[in-house]
Amino acid sequence: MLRYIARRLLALPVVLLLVTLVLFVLMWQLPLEQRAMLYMPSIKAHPTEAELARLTEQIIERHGLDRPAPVQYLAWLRNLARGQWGYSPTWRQNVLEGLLRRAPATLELALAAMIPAIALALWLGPLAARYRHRLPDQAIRLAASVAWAFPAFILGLLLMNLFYARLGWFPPERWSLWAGQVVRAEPFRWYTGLYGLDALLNGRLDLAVDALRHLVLPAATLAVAQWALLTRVLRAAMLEALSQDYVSTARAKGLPERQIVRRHAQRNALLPLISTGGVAVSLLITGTVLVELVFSYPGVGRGAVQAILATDVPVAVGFALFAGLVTILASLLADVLYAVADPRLRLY
Amino acid sequence: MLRRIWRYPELWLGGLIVLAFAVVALAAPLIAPPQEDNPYLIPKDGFSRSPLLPNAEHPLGTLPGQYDILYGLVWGARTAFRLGLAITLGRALLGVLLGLVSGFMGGLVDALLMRLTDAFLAFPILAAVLVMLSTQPALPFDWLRGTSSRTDAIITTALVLFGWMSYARLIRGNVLAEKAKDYVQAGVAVGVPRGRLMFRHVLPNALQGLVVLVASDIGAMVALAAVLAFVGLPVGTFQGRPLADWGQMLNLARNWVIGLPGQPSAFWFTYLPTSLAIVLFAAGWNLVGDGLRDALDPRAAR
Repeated sequence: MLRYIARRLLALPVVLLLVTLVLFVLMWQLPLEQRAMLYMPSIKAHPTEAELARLTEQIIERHGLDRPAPVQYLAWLRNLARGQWGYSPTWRQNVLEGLLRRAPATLELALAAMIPAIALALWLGPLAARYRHRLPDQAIRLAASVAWAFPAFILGLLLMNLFYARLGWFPPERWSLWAGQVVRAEPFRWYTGLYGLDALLNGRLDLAVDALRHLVLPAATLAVAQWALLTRVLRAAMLEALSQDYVSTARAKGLPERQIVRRHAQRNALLPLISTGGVAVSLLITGTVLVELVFSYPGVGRGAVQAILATDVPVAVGFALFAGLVTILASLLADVLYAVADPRLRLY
Repeated sequence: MLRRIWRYPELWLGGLIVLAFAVVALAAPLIAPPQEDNPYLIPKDGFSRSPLLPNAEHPLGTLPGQYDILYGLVWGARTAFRLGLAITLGRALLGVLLGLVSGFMGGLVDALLMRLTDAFLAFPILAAVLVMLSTQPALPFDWLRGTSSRTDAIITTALVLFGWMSYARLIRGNVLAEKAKDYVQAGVAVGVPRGRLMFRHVLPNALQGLVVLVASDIGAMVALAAVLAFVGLPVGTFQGRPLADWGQMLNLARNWVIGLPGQPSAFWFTYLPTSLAIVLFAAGWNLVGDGLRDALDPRAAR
C-alpha cells in the first residue's frame, strides 16, 4: 500500500509541471505587456497609465521577460510558489487572493450538492444492479441517462422559473438583502466562511434558514449531474461485484440474498466510487460556474467568468490553474483513499 | 439481434430521437426555406426588442430582435450535427493516435504520455476553453462553420485539444491487452515493420468501446457548445448577427425566462422549445451510447 501511494506521490510533481507547462505554452502567445500582468505583484488600487507603464517595464526587466522561454517559465513558477499569481485589473487585487476570497461560497455550494447526490446514488445505484433489466433498473437507468445529458444551466433556468418566478419559494443569489446587511455588520462573526454554518455558530436561526433557501435551487441543479454519474458508476460496480466467484460461493453456501449484497458485494462496489473522485470534481467545477451564473451566486466561477469576459487574462490563467490544482489534489486524495480501502493493494 | 434490441430500451429510444433530428436537419431547406445566401443566418423580421407570440407568420414566435424561432431550431439541428460530429471526430482521432502510440511503445513514452493525459484531465473543460480564448490570438484557419468568427474556431479547437483524454486511456488499455496476444508476437518474429504492425494489425483490434464513447460525446459537445454561448462567449454569431445555433438562441432568450410580474410563463416560447431541442439531442445520443455499452458488453450477452 505504501509503495503504491509513494508511486502516486512521485508522479505528482510531473503532472503539476505539465499542467503549468500547458498554461505557459498558451501564455506564450500573448503580447509582452499582457504577459507582464501575469507577473505583476499586488499594487495600489488605481494606478495611473504612467505608473502602470513604469511598473510593466520593471517587471519585464526583473523577471527576464525579454529573455528565452525557459527563463520566463522558471520565473513564473517561482512567482506561483510564492503566491504571486499576477494582478487582476478587474478584481483590483492579486489573482490568488481574489480566488481564495470567493472560494468559501463555492465550497458551500459544492458541499450542499454533493452530500445528497452521493447519498441518493448509494441507494439507487446498487438497487438498479440488483433488479437488472427489470422495472426499477430500467427506470433508474433511463433517469440517470437523461439527468446526465441534461445541461445544468437549462435545468437551472427551468427551476428558477418554477420555484422563484412562479412559487416564490427559493430566491437566487447568496443571501437576502436584509441578511446581507446583518452578515456584513459588527456582531456577526465569520468562522468558516460557509454562510449556513456560520449563521448557526452565531446562533442566528433566521440567517440559517435564509442560507438554506438560497442554497436549495443551485445545489439541486448541481446535484443532478453528479447523481447521474455516481449512480451509473455504482450500478456498474455492483453488477461487476455480483458476478464474482465469491458471490456465487456465498449463494452456494445458502446465505440469504440480503446478506450477500450487504456483506459481500456492496463493499467492493464502493471502490470505483472513490476512483471517480477526480472526474467528479472536474465536472463539479464546470457545474458550479454555470450554476453560479444562472443563480447570480457570488462564487469563484461567476467572479472568474465575469472578469474573463472583461478580457482579464491573469484571472483566466489563474482560474485554470486553480481549478487544475483542485482537481489534481482531489484525484490524489481519491487514489490514497483507494489504496487504504482496497485490501488487494495492501500486498504492495 | 433485432429481438435483443428490445432488451435495451435506451438503444431504440435514443436511436429514434437521433433519427428524428437527422430527418429535420436533412429536410431543413424544405421546412424552413432560407432567405439569404448564408442559410445559417436566422431571418430578421423587424427590430422590436420584445419577443412576438407564435402567429401565422412565425409558428413558434420570435426572439428579441425578431428572429424566427422555428427557423433557428430547424437549421440549428444542422449546426448541432456539424458541431457534434466535427469536435467528437477531432477528439477521437487525437485520442486514438496518442493512446495507440502510448500503449504500443510502452516505457518512457508511455509514462510521459500518460502523465500528460493526467495533466490535461486536470483542467475542467470550461476553464480550459476560457483560458484558450483569453490567451490565443486569431487562429489562421476557421475549420468549422464557414464564417469568420475568431471565437468559434478557438473554442472548437479548445474542445478538441482538452477533450482527447478519455479516448487515449481507452485505446491504450485495449492496445496493452492486444500486445500480449500471440499474433503480435508472431508479427514481431517474422519482422513486420513496427508502424505496419501498429496501424494495420493492432489498431483495428483495439477499437472496442470507441463507438460508445463517440456516441455519448456527440450529444455532450452540443450541450457544451450551448453552455458556452450561454456563459456569454460570442459563439454562433456572424458579423454581430446570431446564427442558427441553439445555444445562441437560448442566450438571446435568457432575460425572458422569468416572464412578466404576475405572468411567469408569458414568454415560454422563447426558451422552452430550444431547451427541449438541446436536452433531447444530448439525451438521445447519450441513450444511444448507454444502450450500445450494454448491448456490446460481452458479459451481458445472454
